[in-house]
Amino acid sequence: MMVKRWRITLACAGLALGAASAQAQHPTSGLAFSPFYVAISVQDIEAMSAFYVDKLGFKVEKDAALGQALHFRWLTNGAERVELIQMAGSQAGPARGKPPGHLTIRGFTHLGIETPNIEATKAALLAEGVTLTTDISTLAPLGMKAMFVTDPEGNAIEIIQRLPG
Amino acid sequence: MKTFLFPLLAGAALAGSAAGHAKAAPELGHWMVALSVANLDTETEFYKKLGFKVALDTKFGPGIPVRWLTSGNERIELLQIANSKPPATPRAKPPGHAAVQGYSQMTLSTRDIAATKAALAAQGLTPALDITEVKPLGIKVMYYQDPEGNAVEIAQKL
Repeated sequence: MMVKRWRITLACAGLALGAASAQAQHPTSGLAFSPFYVAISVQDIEAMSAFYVDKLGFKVEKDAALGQALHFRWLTNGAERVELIQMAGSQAGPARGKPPGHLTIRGFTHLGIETPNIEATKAALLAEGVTLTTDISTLAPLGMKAMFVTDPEGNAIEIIQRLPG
Repeated sequence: MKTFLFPLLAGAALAGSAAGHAKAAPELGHWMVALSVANLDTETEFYKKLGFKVALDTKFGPGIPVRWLTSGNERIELLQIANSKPPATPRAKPPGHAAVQGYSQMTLSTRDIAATKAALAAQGLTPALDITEVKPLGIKVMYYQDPEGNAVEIAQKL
């Protein structure tokens, strides 16, 4: 019985090796990614959740802790998922200016979310008391219209509508 | 008269539903993750190793160079502006990267994390954090860092 198990393990290892070498011959095959989420390290997970849920229409998909040090919350709206991470002892990141000034500090600068109707999204945000950081502008070279809002901890969110054509 | 009444009623119904649900905002979709970078070209080379392709290469606003890289339905926007600076407090290697608040990583979904790791190894890439199971979240993850130290997490559902 032990021998049989051992053989199966070997056979599986052989299959795995075969798969790995096939992968090596076509190194980029199978490398098509989908967005999973964009993660934000936060100071106050409750205040941040309240903004994404109450103002931007996200729903809590998952809430989990990893010991005492890490608290995760997944928020989703349609095809967008944001992961909030509250880590014990985390420190404030750099204060980024108003877009496009927020780009002067390198690193992840903003999340881009698509809406089918930017005017309707703007109206809904204003009705919720959200102030736009920058109003709707057309970015012709990018084929889109966009506006920015900022979450309570200063993270920029770009809301985008594709231009026709 | 009948045709006149009908649009009126439909209009009233629409107005009623909009007023009744202030949150009747359109459902949202994922568009992109944006990165301010020091060097568009070295960053692009790295993401090409992950299978991303250049979908757009242009300038916008006051002449800001921008490049869109896409893979499947994920999009990364690289922006290179003059005189950008690295953050005063750099992010540590994952998993310590989340110790600084703000956008900490982009997370890409894969159906087969081991195959992805093998494919990336063939490209000369080594994970900054090897495959780790995160049971409470129901995922297995690994991390890479791009040439400017930005954390890229790759996750597979358990």
